[in-house]
Amino acid sequence: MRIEVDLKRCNNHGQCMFSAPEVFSLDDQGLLAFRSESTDRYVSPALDESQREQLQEASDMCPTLAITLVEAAP
Amino acid sequence: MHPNEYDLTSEDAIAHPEPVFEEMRKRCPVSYVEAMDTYMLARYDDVKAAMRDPLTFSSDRPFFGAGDSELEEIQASGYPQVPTLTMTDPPIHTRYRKLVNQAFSPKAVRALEPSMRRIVHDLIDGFVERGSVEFVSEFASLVPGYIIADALGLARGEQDRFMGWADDFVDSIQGREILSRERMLEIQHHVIDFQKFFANEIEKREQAPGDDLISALLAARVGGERPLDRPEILDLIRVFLTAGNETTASWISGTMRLLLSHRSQFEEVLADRNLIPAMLEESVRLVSPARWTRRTIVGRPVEMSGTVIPVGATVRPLWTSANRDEAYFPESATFDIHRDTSAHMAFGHGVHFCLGVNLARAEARIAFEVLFERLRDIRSAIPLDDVRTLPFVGVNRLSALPLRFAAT
Repeated sequence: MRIEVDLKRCNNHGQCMFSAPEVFSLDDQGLLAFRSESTDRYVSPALDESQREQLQEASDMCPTLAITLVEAAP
Repeated sequence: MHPNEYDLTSEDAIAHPEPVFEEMRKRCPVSYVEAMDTYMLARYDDVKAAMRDPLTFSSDRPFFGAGDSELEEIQASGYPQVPTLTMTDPPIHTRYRKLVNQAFSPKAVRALEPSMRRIVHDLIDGFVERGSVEFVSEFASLVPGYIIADALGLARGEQDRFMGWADDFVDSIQGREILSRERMLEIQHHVIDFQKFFANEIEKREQAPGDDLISALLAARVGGERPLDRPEILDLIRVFLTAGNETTASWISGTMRLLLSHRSQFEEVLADRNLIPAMLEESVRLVSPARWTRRTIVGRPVEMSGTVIPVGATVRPLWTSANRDEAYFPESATFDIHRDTSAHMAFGHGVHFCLGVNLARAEARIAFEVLFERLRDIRSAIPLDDVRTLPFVGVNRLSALPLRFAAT
């Protein structure tokens, strides 16, 4: 399981870090930390199954619907 | 223009601050307004930067009445006021936000849609045969109020009291610096009435839990450990009541006014109901139901657009102004349902981003879907120039919008 974040949709509200603080964080500028790694789309490495529930919640809560859970390898 | 000359306290400026904000954006984007002892942030970029730095632009502020012995004495007869969602910073804010986020998730809101649709139909049943309606008081204000009452498991007959309390809280938040002494005393007494009413409701749920939001708050565990105490639950209810009532009411009524004054776009939406969500995002940008929020500078002075704001200063990031910043919204005062509205901040920005955004969007969408299904030939019953915005500080509320229509 991985997460994909559409960084063009993401508006840095940071609601995802309330749900899944081990995966999502904001940097010193208040921007989603993944932005240092890519500009359009961030795809995570494979994540542990134990995190599924909180990642699903992060995806559900995102005000811009920018987070998707994907099962297949990228 | 010297910053202190901006007048935001006259009745006209309170009802229609847009021209003052436009002047600020052009000439003095960070203006100190002496009458409110507040720095106003008028530009989009400054508002957004402030929202991205919630620890410097702190939401941690005293409750209304704190430090005022007469008001404190009144408050002493109620429950202690505990800040939860709106007047806190991370990490305290984070704990509460995480706790309530799920109750307002898209999934939770989808489950409420059938009952929302029923409420809207019931309201329209009440006036449809008359062929006329006072849209603000008989419809727009009642849609969010009834939905919140249902969600909290309360009788709808209490609606007038809820709206009254919501008004009290809005006044105490948005314009506490310029309230009359009489009004301040009245608000503080009403806070106690509110607390006693809901303490009683909480007790009822403790005895017999239901599937309502108050019962859910009683069952919730902060950090997976302790239950919320009564003052915390009272503050959360205060937030739901205040943030969820008048904002959505103003959005729905303001949207109807915009449609009536933009006939061809109105016809376009009627012909293609799939345009309703885009139409609503554009109207919420222009209406900006909450005109501003409030923050306090903590830790270090901040320089914005060439002005240094000192530590301890009160700052008001102006949503209304950011949403009309020409740098992001060309021809910003023009209602255009086809424009790209994705950058608007009518629901705020960052960690305090509107908790109820999904609920509000669903309420407004369903309201217009059902209105268009049930009513046709909707017209204003008075000249649109006579539709007034009320002089309520920091909010954008219409006095009345009488309509005529035919039933479908």
